[in-house]
Amino acid sequence: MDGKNVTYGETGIERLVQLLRASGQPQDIAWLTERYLEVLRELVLAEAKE
Amino acid sequence: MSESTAFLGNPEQRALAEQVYKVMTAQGRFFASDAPIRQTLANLADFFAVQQKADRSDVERNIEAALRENAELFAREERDQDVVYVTSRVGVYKPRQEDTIHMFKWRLHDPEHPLPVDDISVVVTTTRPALTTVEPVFISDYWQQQAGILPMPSDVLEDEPPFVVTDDMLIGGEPSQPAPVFVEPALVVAPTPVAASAERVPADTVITLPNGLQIDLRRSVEELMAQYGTTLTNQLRSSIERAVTPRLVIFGTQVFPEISGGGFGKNDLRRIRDYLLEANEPLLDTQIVQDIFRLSPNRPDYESFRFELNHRLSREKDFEFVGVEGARLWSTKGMPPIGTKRLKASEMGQIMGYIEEGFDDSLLAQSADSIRKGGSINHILSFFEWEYGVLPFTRAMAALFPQTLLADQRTTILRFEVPQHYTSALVELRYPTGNRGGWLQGLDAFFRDYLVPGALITITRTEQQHVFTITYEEQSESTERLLVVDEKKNKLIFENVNYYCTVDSDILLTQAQYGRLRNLKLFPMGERRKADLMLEHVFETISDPVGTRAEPRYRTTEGKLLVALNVLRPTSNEYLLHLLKDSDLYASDPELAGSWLYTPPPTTETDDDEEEELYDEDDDE
Repeated sequence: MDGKNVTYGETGIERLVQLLRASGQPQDIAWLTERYLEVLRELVLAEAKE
Repeated sequence: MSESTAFLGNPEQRALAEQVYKVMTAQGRFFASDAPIRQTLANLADFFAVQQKADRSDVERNIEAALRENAELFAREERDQDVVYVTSRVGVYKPRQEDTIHMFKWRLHDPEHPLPVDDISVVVTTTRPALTTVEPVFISDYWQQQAGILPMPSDVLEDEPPFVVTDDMLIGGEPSQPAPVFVEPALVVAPTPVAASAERVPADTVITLPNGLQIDLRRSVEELMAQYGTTLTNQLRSSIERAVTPRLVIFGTQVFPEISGGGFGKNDLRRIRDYLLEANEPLLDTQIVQDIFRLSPNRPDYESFRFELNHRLSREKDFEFVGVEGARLWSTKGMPPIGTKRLKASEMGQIMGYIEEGFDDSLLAQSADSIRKGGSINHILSFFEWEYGVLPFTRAMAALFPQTLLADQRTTILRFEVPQHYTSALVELRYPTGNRGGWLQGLDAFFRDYLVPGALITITRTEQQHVFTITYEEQSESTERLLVVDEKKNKLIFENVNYYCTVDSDILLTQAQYGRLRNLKLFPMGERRKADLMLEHVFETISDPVGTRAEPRYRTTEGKLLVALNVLRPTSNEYLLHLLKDSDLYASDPELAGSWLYTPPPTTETDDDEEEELYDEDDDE
């Protein structure tokens, strides 16, 4: 995905929901931010590599 | 695929390849002509082994060899140890390439002959929408380039061939003249250096946060968190909180997916409320979960249930969160107030406002770091603090006490344990808001029972976030005539008091040192927030007259003023100095360091009479 099309806090948020559901426990917002950055990196860098 | 297509390989292989092709095209009979038709080698082998009544492994080998010979027609893919062949009804499969360059949307965004743009605001309206929703505005690259926001792409300038009208593009047979060659002059200009240096690849990995911050995702998560951790976290938090259809919910610092449909009903909330009222004091969420819902902490859904409880209660008007991180306490309407009823929160907030105005000198004696590391703070009680059981929420106190967990949290309930007497007290910590100061209240019984104004107290943090200990240094019994409030007459008097704590003798309000304090008027709290008026009254009451009757003047020391003013209202030394220096009525005494002179404003006869009434008739010292 092109970085310009990323809306921080909306793009890829579904992946965070799945991640949290899988963990089964509430998580700290700082931990979640790190995971969210990983999700966004995956989305954006996948296209950059292509 | 035309009938004339020749399959390659030996005759058996050609025949087999043709059969496979027929089977696959039959499978995709209703597919689009260029749609891919896929089949696995295993399926093909199973099918032909039955058809040919031959050994399956031989058939599989034959099919593989035949299709290898016709590799152009049958594209081979390997997926999860399966071999898949792909073809289409028109022969070799080619992914469809859609030509979208002439689509209307592109024409709209990138017009062939655009009008000149002086300002990007011509393109994007600045009119405020009826609903203030924050939505990203898409601006085409073309317009951004025109406005100078983005650099001109070099590839367009260099690589795009000039538009040439060819014969077959003309309608109506052969042209009568040689075909015209049309070249746009603007497109053949040399690229500017800016365009040449602009690279598109890095821009694809840069994302823009709602606050405008741009971050490059090629950097590692650790690096990004180290540099922008707070911003990234805050932006994610606000995005989650602002979401129109929330998928995640936040309580404090924790996040969990929104649970729709489940949760707590009115009956559950009523039970919680009744339980809190019965306990008569705020309770922890863990107590509520355990005592009301009988949920064991060992259950796998315990934490999610607890989170949901906290989140639900935070949305209910009847409940108020009064806890901290690590101790989530809940209070409800109808619970008894903590601390004295003689103080109104609005008046106290204004009286303590000097702290928020920057006149807080509490960190002179102890630094915030030492308080945080040591986990304790020393404080000398003033008369006001002792009388009303309050403590100012200074920066020194803020270094010791926990911060709010929720953004709209106003108070926290703490428990102060008194190990010397095996008692404890609930203390309400009111956080500062805007220009109103914060304070702690609820210590009136402890102060009155065991301490006197001038006593040194030590407050120490414990392992539990909401529990503190309060101690003082004990000494043998002493008796002094100390200042107290006669509540029946609502005036200050001196009476014999026995006490057992170490005190600062300069601050101890004895009759010998501060006898004139009994002439102080106990103004209502609404009046006491006017610090300048209180200072005038205090100065006149406790100081030595040095002027004449016609031109009265008073002199006293800074130290005495501070102690006396703290009888009526909390004041820091810095604030006192500010009040003294800010008014023309006061002047520092050049003859005596640390002393101040006060010249009252001229008053009428009526004022004088009223003033006399303030003084105690028995004042015969």
